[in-house]
Amino acid sequence: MSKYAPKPIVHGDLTKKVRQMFMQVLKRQSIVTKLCIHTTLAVTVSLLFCFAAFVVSDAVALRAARTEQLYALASVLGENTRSALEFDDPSAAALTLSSLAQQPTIDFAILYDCRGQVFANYPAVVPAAMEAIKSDVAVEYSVYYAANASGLFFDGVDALSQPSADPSNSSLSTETVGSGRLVLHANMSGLGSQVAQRASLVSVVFFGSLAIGVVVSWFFQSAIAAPIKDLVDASQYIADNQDYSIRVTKRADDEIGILADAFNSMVIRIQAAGKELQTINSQLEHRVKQRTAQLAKSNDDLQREMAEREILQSELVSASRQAGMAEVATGVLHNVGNVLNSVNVSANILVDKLRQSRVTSLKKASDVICQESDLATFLTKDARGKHFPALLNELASTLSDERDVELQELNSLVANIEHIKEIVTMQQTFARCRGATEPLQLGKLIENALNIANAGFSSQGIEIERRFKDVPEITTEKHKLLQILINLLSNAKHALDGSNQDTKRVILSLGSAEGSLFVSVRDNGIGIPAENLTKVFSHGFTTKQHGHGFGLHSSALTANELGGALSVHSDGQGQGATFTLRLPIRQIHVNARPTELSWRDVYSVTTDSAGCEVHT
Amino acid sequence: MLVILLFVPRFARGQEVSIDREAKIKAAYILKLVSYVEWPAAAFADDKSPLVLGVIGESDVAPYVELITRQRTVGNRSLAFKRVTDAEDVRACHLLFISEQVDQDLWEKLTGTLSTAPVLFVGEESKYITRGKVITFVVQDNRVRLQLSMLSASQRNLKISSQLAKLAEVID
Repeated sequence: MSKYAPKPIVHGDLTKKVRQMFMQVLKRQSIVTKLCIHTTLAVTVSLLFCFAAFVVSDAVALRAARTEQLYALASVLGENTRSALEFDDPSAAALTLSSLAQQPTIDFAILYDCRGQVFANYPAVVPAAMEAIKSDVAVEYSVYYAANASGLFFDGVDALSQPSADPSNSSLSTETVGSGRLVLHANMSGLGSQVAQRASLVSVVFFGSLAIGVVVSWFFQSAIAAPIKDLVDASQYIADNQDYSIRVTKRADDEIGILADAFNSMVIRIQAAGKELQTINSQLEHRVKQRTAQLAKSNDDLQREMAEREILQSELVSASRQAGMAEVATGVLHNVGNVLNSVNVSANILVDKLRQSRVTSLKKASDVICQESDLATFLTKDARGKHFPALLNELASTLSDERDVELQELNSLVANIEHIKEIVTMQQTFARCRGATEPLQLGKLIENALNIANAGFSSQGIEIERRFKDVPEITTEKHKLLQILINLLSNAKHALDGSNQDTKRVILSLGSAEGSLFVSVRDNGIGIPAENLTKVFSHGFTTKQHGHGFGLHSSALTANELGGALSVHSDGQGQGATFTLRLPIRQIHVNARPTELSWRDVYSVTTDSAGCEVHT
Repeated sequence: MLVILLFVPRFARGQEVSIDREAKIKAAYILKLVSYVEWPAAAFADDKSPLVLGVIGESDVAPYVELITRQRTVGNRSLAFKRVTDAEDVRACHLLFISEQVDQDLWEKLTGTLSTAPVLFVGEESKYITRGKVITFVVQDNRVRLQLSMLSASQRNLKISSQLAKLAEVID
């Protein structure tokens, strides 16, 4: 209990601390304990106050009673000493005062006569020694007594000599009464023990009352605590078991009763809400199941579709492989065919020349010579013989001329055959060197690409304009880059095929900026509508009648593989298009292979096949 | 100068103070004794009857007694002075001071006839007058002391206060 007793206020902070500590301790207690503590505190404080007041008033009353007792004692003693004073008998007075021996609280007593002189004292010691004694209380009693002769007859002789003095002279009568003083000095020593005795009684009563108060409050706290405990138990039960069917019994119409009502109605609402929620939940579960089934079905469909797509993809791959083979073969054969045309022309010219040759005239002349026995006569005498040297001379010059023409043609033929050989060799070279990087001049590569695609351009009457700037060498995979360029050129050619432009033109630009090289192929062909700009690199997107939407897609992939990028710009339909390939000057190894079927796979197959074709 | 003249007679009287003072004290004691003695109701005619102090024989005390009876009361009663010359006068007194110079015959007569009368007989220490007194003034150590005869007091139906008895030397 002392733990909770209010501490004396020593300092503001201390009070605060004690209060905080008290609150901290209270926080952890149950409401029953709190109620008990409060009640006990209240009872303790009020009882303490009452008993303190009681003890104080008791002490005051005791002191007052003691003082009154002293007054009574003083008056009794004073009256008893009157005769001694009147008859001037100090020993009798001292005898009277000696009765004070029965009063232990009396320190000392002094009786003064009417002249203020010590008449008698108790105890019988020197009065000066008594004055040294410090007493707690002093009580004085005035003893009125008939004065001695000197008082009675303030001047007895005069009075006798004037017996007829004024009878109304009051001085005589007033002088006859003297006033002595009895002073009692007492201590209150007994008072302390008396008060202590009372205090101990009071403390017994205090603890008794406290115990009774606590017991009574404990007995009655159930009236307050029990309904609260009901509420707590119910809340705990609901929290633990999620069972909202429980209700709290209302015990009284007080605030806790209202709380119980509110609690019950709240629980009812929660129960209803819970049921509703359960219904919704079951519905939701049903819907989720439905949706899951639908999704599963969709998923299956999707899977099936994906499988189909895979098949289609493989079909497409094989188609594009064949298309690639055809394209490569077309390119090669086209170039070869062009050259063969020249070869054919040269051969025909040679055939004609040889057919019309004057070799036969030479044959006839040699036969004539062989038949003549006398060659000298023939040459000098015969009419025909005389023309013979001139004829031979003419024949020699004519045959010489023929040989010159035929040599020229043969040279041309040899050159054309060399060209064919070159075409074949180039194709074989590209087929062999896959995945290997090499330093190369982009300008030369563009020329190569143009050479391969040249047949198409020249036949269509397309102007090629070159805007090349000096750029550094680039180290990259030659055949991939070449393939992109061929694709772009082919694309430009197709764009120009469908165009009605008078001057069909392709502008090839080469430049560098910010660590990259830029190659752009710009045509003034059919252009790309804005809505298709984002699709041109998609797999399967094409505007060509026989296209398969693979060329630009694979080019973009390849550009990525090379660490670069392919971009397109067009001002719209009929406005032409510009494809720009950006390549890093420094080689960047791109390890991440696209998840889609990559161009390399397609190309390798294609070129191998093409290679085989070429070799056979 | 006047002040000095006023003081001279006082100083001169101091030489003969023992005689003068004794008489005064005795007179004062007589007055005080009255307070400590209770007379029977029959001793007074009514409530207002004066308390009579009588003196018999020639004495220095007598004038002082006469002086103090003037304008003085004890309780409700006034005091009266009576000079006694005859035995019958004594009956009218409540207190009788017997001087040493009292006539022997008269004294014998008084003690004979008035031995039970409710009169407080007060006397001085004397060779001749030894009996019959209730209170006797005795001079000891230059002080006037009292001797009390409780026997006489009871014979005379007088009640003596214990206060007085405490002060006095009780002889019987």
